[in-house]
Order: sequence, then structure tokens, then C-alpha cells
Amino acid sequence: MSEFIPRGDDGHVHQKLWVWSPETIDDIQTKAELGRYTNRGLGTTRRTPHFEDLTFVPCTLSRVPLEGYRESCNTAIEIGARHGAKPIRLKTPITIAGMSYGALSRNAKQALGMAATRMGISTTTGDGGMLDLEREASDQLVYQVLPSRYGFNPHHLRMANAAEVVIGQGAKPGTGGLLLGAKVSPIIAEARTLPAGVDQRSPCRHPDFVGPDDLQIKIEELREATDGQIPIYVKVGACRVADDVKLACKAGADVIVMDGMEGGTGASPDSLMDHTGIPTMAALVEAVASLREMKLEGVVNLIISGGIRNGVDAAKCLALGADAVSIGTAAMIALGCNKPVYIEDYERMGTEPGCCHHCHTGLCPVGITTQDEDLIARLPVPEAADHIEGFLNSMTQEMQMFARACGKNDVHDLEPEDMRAMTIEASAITGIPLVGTNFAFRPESFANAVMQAMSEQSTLNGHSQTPKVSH
Amino acid sequence: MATLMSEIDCSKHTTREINQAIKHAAADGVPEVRLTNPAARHCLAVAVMHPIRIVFDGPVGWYCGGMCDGAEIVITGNCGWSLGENLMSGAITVHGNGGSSAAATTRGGRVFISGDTGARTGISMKGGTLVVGGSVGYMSGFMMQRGTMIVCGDAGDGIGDSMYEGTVYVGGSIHSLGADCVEAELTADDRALLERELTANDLDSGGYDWKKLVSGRKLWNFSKHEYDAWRAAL
Repeated sequence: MSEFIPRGDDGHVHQKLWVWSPETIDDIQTKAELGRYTNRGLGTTRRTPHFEDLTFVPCTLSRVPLEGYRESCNTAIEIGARHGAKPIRLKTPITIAGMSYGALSRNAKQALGMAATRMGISTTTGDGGMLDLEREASDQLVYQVLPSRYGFNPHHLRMANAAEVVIGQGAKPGTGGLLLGAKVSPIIAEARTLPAGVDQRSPCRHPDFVGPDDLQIKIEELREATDGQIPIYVKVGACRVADDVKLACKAGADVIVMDGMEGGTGASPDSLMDHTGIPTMAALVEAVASLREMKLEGVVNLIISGGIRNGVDAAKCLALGADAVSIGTAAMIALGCNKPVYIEDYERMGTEPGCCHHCHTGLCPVGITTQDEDLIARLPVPEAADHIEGFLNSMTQEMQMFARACGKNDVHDLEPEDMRAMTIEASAITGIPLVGTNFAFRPESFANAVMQAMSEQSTLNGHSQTPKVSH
Repeated sequence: MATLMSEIDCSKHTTREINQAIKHAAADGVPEVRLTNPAARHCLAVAVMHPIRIVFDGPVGWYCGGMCDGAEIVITGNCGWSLGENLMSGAITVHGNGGSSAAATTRGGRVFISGDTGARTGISMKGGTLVVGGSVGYMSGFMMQRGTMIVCGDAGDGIGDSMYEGTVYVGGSIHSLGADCVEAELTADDRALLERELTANDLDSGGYDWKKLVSGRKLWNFSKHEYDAWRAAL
């Protein structure tokens, strides 16, 4: 494939080649100069099969909607009660995803905690331990247990409202975290017991266990350390979802956090972000099917994350079977990430507002992904918390809006039947019928269609019906 | 179950009951708790946050003494994986062999294992002192950040791989060094430290051929002038 451009002065036809596109050429020459792979933040550049490819089909004549601005619509849910721990109570089915103090500034972490508390939801620590300001600001804090154990402190664990064993993340499953030297300030270095300025490459395997059977013992240790009082989450980067969900359930997880490939990161080799994992929508469908197969749907709670942008995406996740969604990048953007201010600082990094993904540099112009004191000061905590609260409110309203339109008085009552697929691809992934048809493009649908046609032919020929293919 | 009992027969209680009894005893100032029949059970004496002496009469399973802060634990038998994981302070003594990942991610305190240990011993240590009377398995000291690991016997493949900081001493043979792990000169201070630590654990300090291992620091920051080091690490 190539794109023709006008004949040049030299008489030759200039073509941009698909394989050797300007972007590919730039990529090769950049790597040749750097002598390594390239890094960046934020997330994948790929267009993935997405919730965008689904549409709601609200009530019309065939069913009755709820009044959009008057009738109540519940959003609250409790999660993590499988083993009798005190559950996390979410007033709206959203959680703030784990993002480290180090990748994020202290102001950003504090603002996230404040907004989560005002909204009655939880927020999560990250690779680097708990920030005191974050704990003080957050009524419900999920404490991550990561392979690096940077800053891990059992006293902090025992102060937490839930623990989350991180097996991997959607942006770069199978790989540990990355915090480049520019962000490893003396404070961050001390919190992580590292030399200041070092390029911190976190391990991908946990130091004290290896496989799924070991995880069961690790979860037991965490329960003993917390006297069985808090739920234990297991977070997995979406890859072999069906197997991973089953193994996490068997290991004793109360909650599974499934993070799709659209998930964000503060820093990663960009090749990993674009070429590892599976999309969030596909991961969600697989995870729900796996829980259903084990008869653990609603027993082991499912939080889905990775590229959730608004209440519409969240409503579609709930309709597909998630108990809650988790947002990271969207929360950062609500804080002011990529905001068109301090334009000259964006330009200094060779980027501009709206397409900045330079979180890994520590030069964030809006004070979110930096440890530079002058830049941090650009993010006033109260104002930042207001913005996140406002965004979380909008997400909640959007979820309620779609639920009411579909005749539901609880956002968790949304279901696949409330949606249609806009593309064959989305239909094949979700099993939801394609718009304009009653046909879901799943293998079993084709098999059933063939069997039905054969059955009809048999009936016409005077033979008995052929049995249907079971799913 | 009484919360302040100073002797517990593990065979008669659940792990939760045992741990709760230990924690309550520690919080109430009971000086010592003895536990019989631990039978290699996992997750015993986890996250005990007050000073107390805990004696296990027999082998323990995984994570014994994990996340403790201030307790003194003695095990008269072997132990499973991840002994003293993320120990904050206090001491753990094992009169036997250790499993893999012994003293993983310790942040403080002292761990002594009289026999051998498995792979990844002292992995990601962030502080504290680990003394192994015997040999350690492969990838021990991996990504060590701070603290001291003393191995009186031999070290398996890849000792000290990708260390950030910290010091590893090996008294026997070294099968191979890990990425960016280098041998440093043994000083008089090092010898004094070794003698002190071994004597404290009733070990004879003579007859060893001590090697001191530290980070080569080539992996701290990427340099395209160190291709070979980075190829080995990645």
C-alpha cells in the first residue's frame, strides 16, 4: 500500500511506502541514535476494538424507560466480601487505579485521594509505597503489593482498606515498571531504597512466589498480616484472560482487576504498549465468561480497566458484566494532563497539548507526572481535586442516564441485551448482535445457523430435526 | 483459645488462631511464646508488630516471620520459602535449612539460617543482615538494594544479579556472577564485620576464602557505551 503524491521537480513520482513510512524511518533513526528501544508514557497508539464499537438500544415502544431527571437509579456496590472481609463500598462503580507516587507528583496523589473520598470510592497506591498525604486524603485506600516491593511497609498494609497483588498491568504485561532517573529524586529514591537518579527498572516477577499455587499462599500471608479484615484483589494484565481469572479465583482472590492493553503507564518501551496484551473489551468478555463458568460471577468481583474514558464506556463495561471500572489515564486528564497551558514547556519537549505522552521525562508542564518542585506547584491540590470530582460526577451521571434510558433503576442491571454491535469485529468479540441483524458473529452462531438450515432442509425432505449445537 | 498462652500446640488450632494468639501475647507484653507441632504449616507468626520471643519446635512452612517488626523468632527445624519476607526489624534464627527466597525484600533486622538455602535467597533486600551458614541457590541477591548478605558456603549461578547497592560476602566458591555484579577488595572493616556476624551466630570465623561482591553500577543508567552489560541484563 502506498500514498501517491505529485510528481516532483526531478520528474520522479514520490511515494510514501507503507512498510517504510516516515514514522518507521524516524523510529529506526531514533533507535540508531539512542542505542536502545524508545520509551514514552500514557498508552498504546493502536486503534483497538473498543467500546466505541457498541451502541445502546434504549427503551422505545417495546419497553419503558425511567424518567431521566427524576427517578432514582442506584450506582452503589460493595466489593470484596467473598471471604468475609470488610468490603470496599463504592458509591459509584469507579475506582482510581494504582499510580505510583514517583510516577505522579504528591499533589496529584493527594488530589486523587480527596476526590475519591468526596465521591465515596477508593483510590490505589502504586509502585513506591504509600504516601502519607494520600492515606490522609483517602477514606478507602487499596494498597498494592507489587513485584518490586518498593516502599512496601506492613504497617501501611494494615492501614489499608484492601490489598491488591499486582501480577501485571495492561500497558505492558509480563514486564515490570519503569521510572527513569529524571524522576528518581532524592525523596523518591529514599522511599524506594534506591540510589537517586538511577533508571529504576522494576522486576516483573514477585520476589517471594512464582506461580498460581504460590499465589494462594501469598494471599494467605496477606490475610494473616491483616487479620482477615480486608479484601484481597489480584490485578492482571489482560493476556490469557480465561485461565488467569480461574487461577486467581482458585488462589483465593476476592476481587480481580483485569487491565486491558489500552491501560496507561508513566513510562514504558513503546513497542510493549503497542504489541502486548489484548484489548479491554475482549478481556472483559473473556473474564465474565470465565467467572460464569466457575459459578463465581458476583462472588468474585470484577473490576475492568484500560482505556475507560467516560461514563459511556463505564456503562458498557457494566452491561458486559463488570462490577466496577477503574480509571487511571482519564483521572490524570481530568487533573489537567495535556491541558493547553504552559505551551512553551510542551514545545520544549517537542510536543504540544493534546498529544503529549512525555510522562517518563519528569518534565510534565502541568505538575502531574513530575517530581520537580516548580512544576508540582502548578497543580494546586484543591482545584485539581475539584476537577476529578467533577469528572467522576459526570461519569456517574452518564452511567445513570444510559441505565434509565434502558429502563433500569440500577446501573448494574445493564446487560448485553441493552446493546448492539456497530462492527462485525465487536459483535464477534462480545457476542452482541450486529446492528440491523439478529446475528452475533460468534463461531457458535455460525454453527447454529448451519445446523438450523440443515434442519429446515431435513424437515422439507420429511426427516426429523437435527439437534442444535450447544455452546 | 486463651489469648495470652505462652505455649501453643499448633495441631489443635487454625493458622488464624495461632497468629492471633501470638499477636495478642506480643501486644500484652508476654515475653515468650513456644509453639509445638508446627508441621511445616504456612504463614505462621506473620506481621507480629511488637517485641516477643517466638520459638517453633519443629519445621515451618512458607512465609514464617514475614512482615514482622521487632519479634525474635527461633525455628528448630527447616523452613519453607520466603522466610522473613519483608522483615522490618527483629531477628529470625533457623536451625536447619531454608527454602527459596529466604529473607526476600527484608528492610531491616537479622536473619540467620544455619544450613543451606534455595534459589533467590536475599532477593531484593532493602536492608538488614542475612547470614547463611551453608550454600545459596541460583540468582541469590538478585536486585539487592541495600543491606548485607553473608554466605559461608558456595553461591549458585548469577549471584548478585542487577544489584543496585548492598554487599554480598561469599566464603566458598562462586558458580557465576550475575549481571553487573563485581568483586571488590576486602578491607579490614569487612573482615571485622564478618568476624562479628559469624561469632554472633556461633560460627567459626576462620577457614573461609571471603569474596566481597558489590554492584558494578553499569546498569544504574543506560549507556550505549555499555552494550555488553545491557545485553546481559536484558
